[in-house]
Amino acid sequence: MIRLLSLHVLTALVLALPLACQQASGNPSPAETVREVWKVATPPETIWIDFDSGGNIYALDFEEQKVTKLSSTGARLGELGRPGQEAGALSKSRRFAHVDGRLYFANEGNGRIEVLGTSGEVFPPIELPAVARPGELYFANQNFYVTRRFASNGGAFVYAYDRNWKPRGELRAATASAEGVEHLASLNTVCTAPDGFWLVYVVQNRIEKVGWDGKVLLETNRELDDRWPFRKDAKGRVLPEIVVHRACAVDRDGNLYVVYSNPENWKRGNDVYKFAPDGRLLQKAFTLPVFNTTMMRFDRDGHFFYSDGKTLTKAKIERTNQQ
Amino acid sequence: MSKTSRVLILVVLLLSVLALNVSASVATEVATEEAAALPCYDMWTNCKTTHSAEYCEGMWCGCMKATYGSNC
Repeated sequence: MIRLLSLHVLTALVLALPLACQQASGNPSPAETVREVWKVATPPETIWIDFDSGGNIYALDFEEQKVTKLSSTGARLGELGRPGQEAGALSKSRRFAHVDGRLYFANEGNGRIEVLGTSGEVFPPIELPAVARPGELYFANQNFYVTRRFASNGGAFVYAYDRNWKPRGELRAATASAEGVEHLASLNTVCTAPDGFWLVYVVQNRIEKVGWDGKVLLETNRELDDRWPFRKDAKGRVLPEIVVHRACAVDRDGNLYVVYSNPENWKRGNDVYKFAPDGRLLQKAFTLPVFNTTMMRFDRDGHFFYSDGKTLTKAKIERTNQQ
Repeated sequence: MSKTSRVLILVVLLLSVLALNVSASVATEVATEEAAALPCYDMWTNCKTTHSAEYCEGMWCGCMKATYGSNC
């Protein structure tokens, strides 16, 4: 009888195992903790930061289209840039990069690259014939990379330039269709890595890693459970409605951290998952102590910065258990 | 206990677990259907009938921010 009961218990366990695994994969325990170093107010909407060689931090505000300059300890040093259309003014800028003592902005609203000195000096803007509306801008691998955020309507959506803005090639072809589904689904953000860049699609559960030559190295994603109410059209395409990914950052080892929306509250975005350089989902890294993450990134020393718009936090990431 | 009884118990156990799984997935599907409104995509589709893609992108991004809190 005991043997029979054991058999039944074992059978029940085996049958229940897939469910348990599914639940575990959807809700894994955090592997790392975020220890705050300092936190400063940066209202209303910090959307990107970059650093100069002296360790100063430049924080771009999306709503006000200006930059706050901070010291490495978070002390406020001043402001530069302003909203507008004239040379030196910004419109709908989301990304910029500090290179050789100047700040280069993807000035999407004005359709050009804006150039400012680290004290706000205005330099002649740079027009890019291939990119009418530069959405994001990065400097990596000794080149500038400019992207279009919506990657449809043909042409390309990732463009490379050398540090003198001489074109180095179009790295990723956009879809030819301007149809609503493909157009909106193509919305993307980029995070550069030591060996290429990650293309994180905002309203698709899809992440690509692309080499510096434009070749897609891998595609990955996190399996999302039934709480994500994706709807499909007659062609089986997911309709672009739900914000899946909200921000990304790459650490010095090339690991990709991605902020996901939270299906319990779609306005919340603070759960961060970590992917290895080879695209493997390692596990949930941590939950940031803010409600809605607008940006995150690492500096050269491995410090981790994140913002909810109103504040900017410098932190250290510490491992809490074995991955 | 006879061999037939053991088999019967196993079958009942198996059916119970399967029934639990089925009822859980049905409940999830119902909840998903109810939650699956497309306010921003529908807005985009309507906008595109009368306005440019660039204008409608801005409208869509505004809707995404209001609905999901994310600055697209």
